[in-house]
This record gives sequence, structure tokens and C-alpha cells, in this order.
Amino acid sequence: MVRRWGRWLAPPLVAPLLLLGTATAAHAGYQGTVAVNDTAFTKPCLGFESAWPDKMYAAARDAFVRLGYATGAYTGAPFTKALILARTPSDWGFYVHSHGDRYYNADGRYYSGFRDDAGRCSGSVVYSKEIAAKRLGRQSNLVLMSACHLGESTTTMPGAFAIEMTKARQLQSNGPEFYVGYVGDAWDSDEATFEQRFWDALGTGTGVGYAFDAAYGAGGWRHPFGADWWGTYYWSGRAGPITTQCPYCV
Amino acid sequence: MELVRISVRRSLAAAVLAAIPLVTAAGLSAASAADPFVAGQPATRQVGPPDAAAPSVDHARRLLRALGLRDTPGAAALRVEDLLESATYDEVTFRDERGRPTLLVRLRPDGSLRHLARLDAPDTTAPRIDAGRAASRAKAVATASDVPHPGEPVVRDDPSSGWAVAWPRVEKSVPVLGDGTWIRLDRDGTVRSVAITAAALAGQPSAALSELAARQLAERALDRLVVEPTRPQARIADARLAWVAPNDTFDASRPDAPDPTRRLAWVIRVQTTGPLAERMRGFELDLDAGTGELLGGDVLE
Repeated sequence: MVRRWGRWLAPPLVAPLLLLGTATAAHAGYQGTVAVNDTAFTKPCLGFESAWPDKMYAAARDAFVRLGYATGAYTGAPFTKALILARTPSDWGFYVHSHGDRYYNADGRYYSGFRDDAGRCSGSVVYSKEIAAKRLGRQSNLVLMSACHLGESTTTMPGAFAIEMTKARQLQSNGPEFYVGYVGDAWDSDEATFEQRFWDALGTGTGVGYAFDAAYGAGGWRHPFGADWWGTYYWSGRAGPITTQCPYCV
Repeated sequence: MELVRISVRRSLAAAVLAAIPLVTAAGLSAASAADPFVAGQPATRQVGPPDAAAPSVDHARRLLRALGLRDTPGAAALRVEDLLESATYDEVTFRDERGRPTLLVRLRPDGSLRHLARLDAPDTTAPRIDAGRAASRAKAVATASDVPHPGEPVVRDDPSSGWAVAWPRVEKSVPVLGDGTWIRLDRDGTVRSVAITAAALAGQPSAALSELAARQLAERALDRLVVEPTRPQARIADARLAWVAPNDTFDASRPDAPDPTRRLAWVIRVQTTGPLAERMRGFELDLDAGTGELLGGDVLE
């Protein structure tokens, strides 16, 4: 069941966050989580250190902080499935960069999911159903899935964050929420380019829909690249149920 | 909707087809080596005096009219430096009566179009045109905005709006990765965005490696890039010549932004299997076509 935004106008009771490993400092307020899989793409799991995870981690972490999320950022061993599931009930914003797919679950069905890091070369899968079970329909703000296949029309991930797979047009609103995912295979170079442009455009204060179209429409992809969104086009992207930062946004 | 061809101060089509290096107008700053892009910091910043880009507003308006897009009275122009692209643009943002941005236009110093985007939510209930009409519509858009569109385009579903129509850049039968014309259309064929990328090309090597030599070099590179016991799970799937932007995929000491000049390379596609594929579907090695140097590449997680 998706609860509508009208029931969630009271500020959440969020305690200041503890820091783990390479997590960054957090601020009291609306919680956001940035989680980037790094171990799988560095030594000793590979013979090289891929530069992409660190760059996307830095860009997402700093963007979440600028958007006002009380940001906990995790990469390497601290990014575990247990951490994600422990934090998700209080998350208003969420970003993950990792291997994503539709994974077979022990209940006999397929769910969208992504792998954690946990300091292992191949991490555990975090299923959308597990996130949904923790969040219980609680609304969220900004969710960006930096992984393959989590932006397809069949994805089950937006529902886990109570984001309806609709696109609110002018003068309409699904509430202050926005989900971004990639369609099919998405290479790191293209993901990083899109995300840097998206964060930059969000930083102008003009809104998530503007940021998506400005970033996606600029092209220049090394490979065929597809991205999609659901939520409210005219919304600032800032943390919390109500925003006053964008005069023409929700 | 009738589209009217407009003229620009310099035709980008001729520049692309002749592989002429990207030219920036004298007097405009370009990204300096001493002030490179650093991941985590904004990649775009304003440069020049506040009114430096004002003359571009009228040019942008003419472009919008040629494309049949509604012009709005509110417009602001900034000269911006894009550190990811190592380029300077005039960026014009049009706003409605409420102050909402409605259109974004980026122009190069020579007045040619880099990027145009509509900034409103697409109508997901509009009747959807078919792929053939999407191609025709995109051709008309490309003609009206005087952007290169040689031959037949590649037409794909665009999940966020309707259709994506592309004319990838090819120089003497060799693709230039990341370059070309890319047009997004809404379901009903209304233009959503137009983007043209055309980087400078480095000189061709005097003698190019053969594909066999490139594959042999790639195998040796894989021996150190993919450690045992997973080495057998990474196999070369494909090798092709392409112009690429050198990057820091395999060497984090390189600049965070890709090199703005494309270099001719053998792009070696590596397919993964078994446990390695559970976390990484594949990757690409870009080997300089002349020296075999590893220029960078990409990772598919």
C-alpha cells in the first residue's frame, strides 16, 4: 500500500547518525544515505582500481549534503546489506551505485535489487522486497539508483520507496518525490556523466525534472544510454515533506 | 507543424564531417590545466561579465521558433565553463510567467547549437507516433536547427519521453564514441531535446596496430587487470577501431574529466562469466591504435 504524502507532514524524529568506516559526517534532520560499491572494482578483487566508484561517491555525497539531507555516506566494507536495511526506515533520500539487476528470490519471484559491498568481491543482494518490508510504505524524497536495470518499466524498486511509477505533469503533484533509474545496461562513464550533470543542475535550485532533462538531454553517451524517472517534475529535490527553496515547486 | 530552416554563423555540419578541431572564439576562456574538474565539485561555472552572453538570447529565440517551440518572454543568459567537456558555452534559460524554467539552450561560441532541452513533464497520455514517423520528425528537427544528420538514424525507445533518434559521428568509417547528434522526442513527436557533440580529433598514427596485435596486447593487459583465479572469467569478445576520449578508468591518477581530444584506439570489449559476472558484466580497454598504450576504457557493472 502506498501512503499518500498528506499523512506524512510531521517532521521525522531522526537522531544524529553514527559514522562507520569511511562514512562522512551527518547532520540532524532528514536522513539520506549514499552507498557506493567499491571493493568489487578495486584491488585485490581486480588487478586495478576503477576510478568511477570514488568519483560517483564524491558527487552524490556532496549533492545530498547540499540538498539538505542528513547524509550518511558509505563505501567499501561499511556498505553492508544490514546497514542499508537498518537505515532505510529513516531515509528520505537514497543513492546507491553498484551492480543492479532483477534477482531471483527464495520466495520464487524476481525482484529488483543491488549488491552490497561489505568488503567482499561479490556482495549480498539487497532486494526491493526487503527494503519495502522495512519502510512499510513510508514516503521518500529523492532516490537515485546508479545501477543497471533499475529504471525499467518492470522494476520493483520505486514501490519499495513508495514512489508511484507515474510522471506528475504541470500543476499536478505526487508530492515531493523523484526516482531516477537506468534502463538496460548502463556503463560507468555514462552513469557518471549523467549524474554529475544532474547534481549540478539540481544545485541551481530549479528542480528535479529540470535537472533530469538538462542532464539527460545533453547526450554525449559513449554507449546507448537510457534513463527514466517517476515522481513530481516540479520539485526542488530538497529533503523533507515541505520545501520552500523553489518558489514554483511543490 | 512547419519547421523553418535557420542559418547559423558557422555550419557545424561541415566542421564535423571534415574532422576540424573544435574551435573556440578568441577572448573566451577555456578550462585551464591548473583548474581541472574534480569529482564532487560542480562541473559548470559562470565565467565572464554578467552580460557576456546577452547577445545569444535572440539567437536562441530564433532557434526555438524554427523548431516550433513556444517562446517565452523571460530569458536569462550566462556564459558558462563546462569542466567536464573543457568547453565554454552561452547558456540561455527561458522561463514562464511563474518563473519556471521552460527551455534550456546552450550555444557554442560560434553560435552553433550544443544542446537544447524542453523543461516540462512529458504528456504520457499523448498518442504515440511510430518509429518511422519519429525518424522523419527528428530529421525535420535536425534540418531546422542546422545540425548534422547524415544518412539514416538509429531510432530507439526513450523511456523517459518517447523516442531517441541518433546520428552517431563517424569519421572515415571509424566511429567517434560519444559524438554525434542525439534528438529526443515526446510520444507525439514534439521535440524534447537536441544535443550535438563534436570533439577535436588527434592526429592519426603513422602506422596503426593490426587487430591481431591489439588483441595480443589486450590479453597481456588482462593478465594484470584481472587477477587469478578470476582471469579465465574475462574473455575478449570484440575489437574495433574507434575514436575515444582517454579517461581514468584504470588509472585514478589521471584527470577526473575525460580528455577533450579524441584519440584513435582499438576498443577491446571484454565479456565476463561466472562469479566475476555477478558483480561486473564486462569492461572495455581502449588501446592507442599506434602505440598500444592503455588510454582508459569503461566498466559495465
